[in-house]
Amino acid sequence: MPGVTTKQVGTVEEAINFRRALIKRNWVGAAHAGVSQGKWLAPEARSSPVIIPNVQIESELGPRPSLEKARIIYSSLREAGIDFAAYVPDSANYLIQRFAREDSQIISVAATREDDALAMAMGGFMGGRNPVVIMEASGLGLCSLALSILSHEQRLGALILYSHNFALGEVRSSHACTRWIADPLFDALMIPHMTLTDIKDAPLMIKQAWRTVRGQMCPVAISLPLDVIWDE
Amino acid sequence: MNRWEAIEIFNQLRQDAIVVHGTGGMGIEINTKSPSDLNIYAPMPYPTPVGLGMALALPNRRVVITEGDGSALSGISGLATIANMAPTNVIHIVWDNGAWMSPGTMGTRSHYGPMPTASGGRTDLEGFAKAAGYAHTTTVTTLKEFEAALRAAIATNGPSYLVAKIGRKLMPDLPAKPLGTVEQAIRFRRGLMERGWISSSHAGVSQGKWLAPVDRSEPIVIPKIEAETESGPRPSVEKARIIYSSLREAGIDFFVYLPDSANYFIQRMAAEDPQVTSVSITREDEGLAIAMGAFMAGRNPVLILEASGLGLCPLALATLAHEQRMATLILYGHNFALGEVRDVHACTRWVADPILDALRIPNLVLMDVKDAPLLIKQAWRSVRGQMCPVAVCLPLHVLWDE
Repeated sequence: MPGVTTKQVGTVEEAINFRRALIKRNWVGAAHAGVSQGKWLAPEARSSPVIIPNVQIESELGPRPSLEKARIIYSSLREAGIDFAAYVPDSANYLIQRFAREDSQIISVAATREDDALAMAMGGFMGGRNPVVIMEASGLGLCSLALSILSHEQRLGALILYSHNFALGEVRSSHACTRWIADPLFDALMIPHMTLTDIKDAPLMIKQAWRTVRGQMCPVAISLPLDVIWDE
Repeated sequence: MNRWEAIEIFNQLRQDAIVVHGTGGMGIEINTKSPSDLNIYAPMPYPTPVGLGMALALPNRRVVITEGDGSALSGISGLATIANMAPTNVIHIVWDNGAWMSPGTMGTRSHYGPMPTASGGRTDLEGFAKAAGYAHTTTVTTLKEFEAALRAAIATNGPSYLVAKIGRKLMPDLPAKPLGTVEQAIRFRRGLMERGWISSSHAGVSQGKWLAPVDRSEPIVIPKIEAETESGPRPSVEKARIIYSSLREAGIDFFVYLPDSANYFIQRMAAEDPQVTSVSITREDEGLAIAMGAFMAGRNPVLILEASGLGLCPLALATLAHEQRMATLILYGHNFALGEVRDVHACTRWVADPILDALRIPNLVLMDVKDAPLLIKQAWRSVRGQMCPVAVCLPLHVLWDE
């Protein structure tokens, strides 16, 4: 364009202006946009009770994803207020992702890449939804750009659940990327992250992690080791 | 059509083709029904770019890229790069069952309920390849059609894209073979070396020889790039020439880049240099995988990008570099501390040094363009000797005139 000016793009100011514009139009709540403290602690107003889909699978012996554990984790997400799930299917989280897919009360999106899923979730967050991204740890290796620009610069948040763990139960060589990229990258990017070591802790940990996402407007990641989501 | 039966046909026809395969049950079926030291693993979304790098590095050898529909969709932007580079030796086979098959069958013979991929919905994979510009595309649904299409692809110049519609079944008694092991990568290197396709010094199995200058049949000629002279801060043609000459003198002969404002003239020299292979890409992680594929197949690559693009690269850096010892030199524009006047480049300080440090990738800053010949030569030696990526940061003052 002739006479184009040197305007800055992608600034913090632009993101703040955008949030305020959504609030002023009443398209998102002030609590969600991070401009009013405290209210987000209250349970979401729900027009209908949470109903967890009835997912069935054939029962077999041996190590495999546990339907019951997946139900506990999925229920924890829904009870915490999550209403937007983006995922790239993976073997460990498969049943959690199936619950999301079959849940007509939420928006669920199967993505082609993990950074794609993360950016969608963050867009959902900016637009007033309560998103989770569910993926295999390897996919975090595509997400650093989104985690830095969208998260740090523009304060777009999302809860992240990722399967596999840097130390526990990793029997396959091809999953070595988990120990290279999951915890080291979160530490490098200063993204809060922790491991769910006991399925009984899922409701508490997920609720509190989501509160941090909302309050801090930053991603929070939870690792799901195989023993937490599989039956032996 | 069952995939493993089609792979049996493929095995009869493949001869000495390099096979870059993706993950999941498909990768295991390939290594069971068509085992070879010329099989190499690349996780999604990297079968496509790793295969392209190898195909460009070994233009007289057939390279078959084979992956599932989920993997193909995750690397879809790479189709445009393959189509525009137009390697005649590439056959790209996508096994399309319209579902995330392997995730739903892990540890069991039963499927845990279908989750369709986009190709199980409205998306036409062959249509993507055709629109990208592949020389030949086809979709087959029977073993007979598969065999005919594969024979046709072998008989003609590619790149060819073959979508095989298959059933949602894994091979009976599928063994639990590990994929992406260090052992497989070593066997692959030795396979190329023993056939005389790459030299032993490049494959990292003999020490010292790589220190010798690269044999050159012709002198290096640096392309003449002209830019209008203007006052004020802007990229310097002269500085770009020093850096580009340093790369060429060090032996770099394979350039992969995503154009960016700071590195633009270096990239233009690569684009206009008929003595090298240069590849303009769609995403930085795709470029990294192309460069690493070329390295594995005997070339001397550099990836030139803006620092922000490193934020897409940790998966390739972890899996391809650390596990399979695929390497490349990396030059990236911008710096975590020096001369960063635009807010939008804040991602440099978040993603460049912190990520390279977290992944233990050697990285350093070129502070003075006079040091470019030495720094680049020595960095490249480390890439070859250590078979690991080395990254060199180019702050704006090193690339631009004030």
